[in-house]
Amino acid sequence: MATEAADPDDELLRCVGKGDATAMQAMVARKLPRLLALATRLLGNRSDAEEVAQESLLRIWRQAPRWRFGEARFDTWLHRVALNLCHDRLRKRHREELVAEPPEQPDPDASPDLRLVQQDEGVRVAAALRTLPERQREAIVLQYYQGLPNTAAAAVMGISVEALESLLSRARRSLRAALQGVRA
Amino acid sequence: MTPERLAGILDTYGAKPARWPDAERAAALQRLTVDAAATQRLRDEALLDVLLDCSTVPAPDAAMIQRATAAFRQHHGLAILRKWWVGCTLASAALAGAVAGTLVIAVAMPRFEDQQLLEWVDAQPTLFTPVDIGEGAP
Repeated sequence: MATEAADPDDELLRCVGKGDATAMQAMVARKLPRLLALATRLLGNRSDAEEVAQESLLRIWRQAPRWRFGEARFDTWLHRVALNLCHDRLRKRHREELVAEPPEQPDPDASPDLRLVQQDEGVRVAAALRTLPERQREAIVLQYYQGLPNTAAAAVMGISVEALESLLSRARRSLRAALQGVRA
Repeated sequence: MTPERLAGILDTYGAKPARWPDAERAAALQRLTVDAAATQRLRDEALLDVLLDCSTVPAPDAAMIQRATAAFRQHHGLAILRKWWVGCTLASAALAGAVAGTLVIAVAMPRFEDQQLLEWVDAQPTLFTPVDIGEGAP
């Protein structure tokens, strides 16, 4: 089901590869918000997400002069790069958490309802996303938030479309349950 | 498009047809017009989509954009320097090769000439006539 249509990033990437500063600015404008959104949703931390986005852009600058056009879709490659960088961060964070103090427990006296009221829907959705298992979160972020076609999202994750659909379905079910009672 | 598959698409991809698989979108939309249960499911999924859309990520600020463009300029500058350096290295290697070749020729050639001279001398009849000791006297 892979589309053979021309890659919309080809022309810009060609110019970036030649060192064109205007093309570079256009590439930053096109990709940086997407990279930042992807990393923020996967890592839940703005500072880490910014570093991942900057590192992903550096990979573009390095790759652009030797990009082999027609072999892969640039946006899919870029998402895979960013996803791998996020995996590195999460692994590092996990190692640090193993040796760190246990996280602070929530205040048992604070009413859950009160806390929920204090949070707006966006924050609650972001919190619900963070409670998903990692692969489910990746699936819904890539397919829903990043708007990748199912084939591209599956390729980025290195799984079949059927496996992606299973992850998506479970993720939406969990989110529906977590957000029960919330009205936008 | 079976009712089960349509339910699966809604359950997996949500209510926005743009997010459905390209190859199944038309058939799914067609099926929706005659499937009341699927229409209800579509409404439920649309509510979840609206909630999911509430989660937004702030756009990159000017400082971050500036860092990104500075990184490009630095990388591009280094790439030019690297190319120039590789070019200089190759030119230096070629020059060094030429100098070394010249030296080898300069040092080896005289030896070669000496060797040739010796061989040439060896190949010549003696420069001295045999000493006459009377043996050949009539």
